[in-house]
Amino acid sequence: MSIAVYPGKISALVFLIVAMAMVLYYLWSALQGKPQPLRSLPAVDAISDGVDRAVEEGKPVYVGAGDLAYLSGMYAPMTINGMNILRYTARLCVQKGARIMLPSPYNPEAMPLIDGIYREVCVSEGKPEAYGRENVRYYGNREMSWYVGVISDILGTGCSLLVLVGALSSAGIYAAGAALDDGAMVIAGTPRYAHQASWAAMADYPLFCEDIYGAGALCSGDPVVASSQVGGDLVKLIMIGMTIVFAILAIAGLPVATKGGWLFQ
Amino acid sequence: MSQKSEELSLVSKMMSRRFYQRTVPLFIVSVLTGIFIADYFAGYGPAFKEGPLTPLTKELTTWGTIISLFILLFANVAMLMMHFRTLVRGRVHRKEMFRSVSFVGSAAFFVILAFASGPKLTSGDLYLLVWVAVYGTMGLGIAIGHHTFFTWHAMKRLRGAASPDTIALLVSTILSLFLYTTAVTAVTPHFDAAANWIKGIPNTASQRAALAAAAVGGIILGVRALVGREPGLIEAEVT
Repeated sequence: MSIAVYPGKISALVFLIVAMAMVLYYLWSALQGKPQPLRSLPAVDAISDGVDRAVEEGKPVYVGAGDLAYLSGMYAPMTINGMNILRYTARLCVQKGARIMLPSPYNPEAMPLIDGIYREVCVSEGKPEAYGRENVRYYGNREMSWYVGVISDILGTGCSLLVLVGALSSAGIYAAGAALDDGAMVIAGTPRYAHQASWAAMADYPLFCEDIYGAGALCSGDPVVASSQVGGDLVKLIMIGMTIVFAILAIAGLPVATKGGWLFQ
Repeated sequence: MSQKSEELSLVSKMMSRRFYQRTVPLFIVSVLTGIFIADYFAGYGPAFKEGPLTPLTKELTTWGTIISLFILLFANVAMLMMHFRTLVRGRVHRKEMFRSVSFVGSAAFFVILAFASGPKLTSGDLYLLVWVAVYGTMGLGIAIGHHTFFTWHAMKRLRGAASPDTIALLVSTILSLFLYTTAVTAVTPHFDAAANWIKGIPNTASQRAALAAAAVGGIILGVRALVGREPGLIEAEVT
């Protein structure tokens, strides 16, 4: 028996290799001292303004990577990326003296990571006393308990800024509703396609789909991380080009997207 | 002398937190990821459902479940201990003790554990009855409440819809709502056609584009994590 690539997965494998190669190239070139700049995002700039506002109002900042912030499966990249934004926001809060509240996801596997980032930020900013274990909140392992808990906390403490970027379900929009009722600024977004319209309506600064990865790269403050995003842009340009070319070829009658066609080899 | 210092530096490197908290786990994760990716793509041929690595990935998945269950158990114990300590050390005001999160949460845990401790565990009749009664009632109430809550907020927010994006979104949302409103589609069938067109053509196209872009973002982050350049994880603690 000879080993071969499963039929129907060849094009996916080629695409994966090309995408990884491009990202690795830009990572490598950044490590060689040729970083690629990223333009600023209004949502990221607004975090600092929101923290200033929280200090003035004396209300806390709520920041989380989403109620679905799992470290496994399809939500893991969204979660890890959300941690960059969480770290950035937490750092600003500790620097400026704003109280921070960190709602943990309802699957608590990322909770130690959230707690660790918070504690680490407090220590690295020279304010270990700013750390409060009670500010890392856990509301149980159900979606509804999550948003009921977050709403309860927001109503109890008030909220000046809500930053929810990562793996979000519809639970996040209820938290956002409570925060908006309290006059808070809402910065939120998720790559989950079905929830884009919700955040278009509920966030003052929505981040759509892949925006969150750009925001995460900006928040990391690491030029190497930012450069890897540029590699992804190149992959997307190739995808757009391929879509146009293959559409033309398909219209011309070539077996591009038919069953067993070029794209499904 | 220099050779000795080099050896010492290698030993200190091996003993550093960065090595055992970052480098070793990343290496293990990279190898495991490589095995799973290879299993996804490599097989014996179209006639075989399983590839050469499938038995290994099945075994690894089983062990992943075992390890994660122990982590879950550890996390539950740690959380209960935290709440016990909060109550015992008087961190909660005495008058508020019985309605504190620590008390209610711990009590609920043991009550649910008692219901689930029969021979059939969480498949037992009593547990299912209590679960359905409590969770179902709560769920229904909250579901009705949250839909009203969200619709109210979304409507309030859409008052300020002025940009082309938000107007397009608003129009497509209203048409989609009509699609699921039988009374409207029965009286005015053309809404049905328009909403179905939006759902089938522009929505499908944008959904595929968004998924592809998000997948590329996932690949970027995955590559960064595997080469140890992802700062989203704890940094200072491992230096």
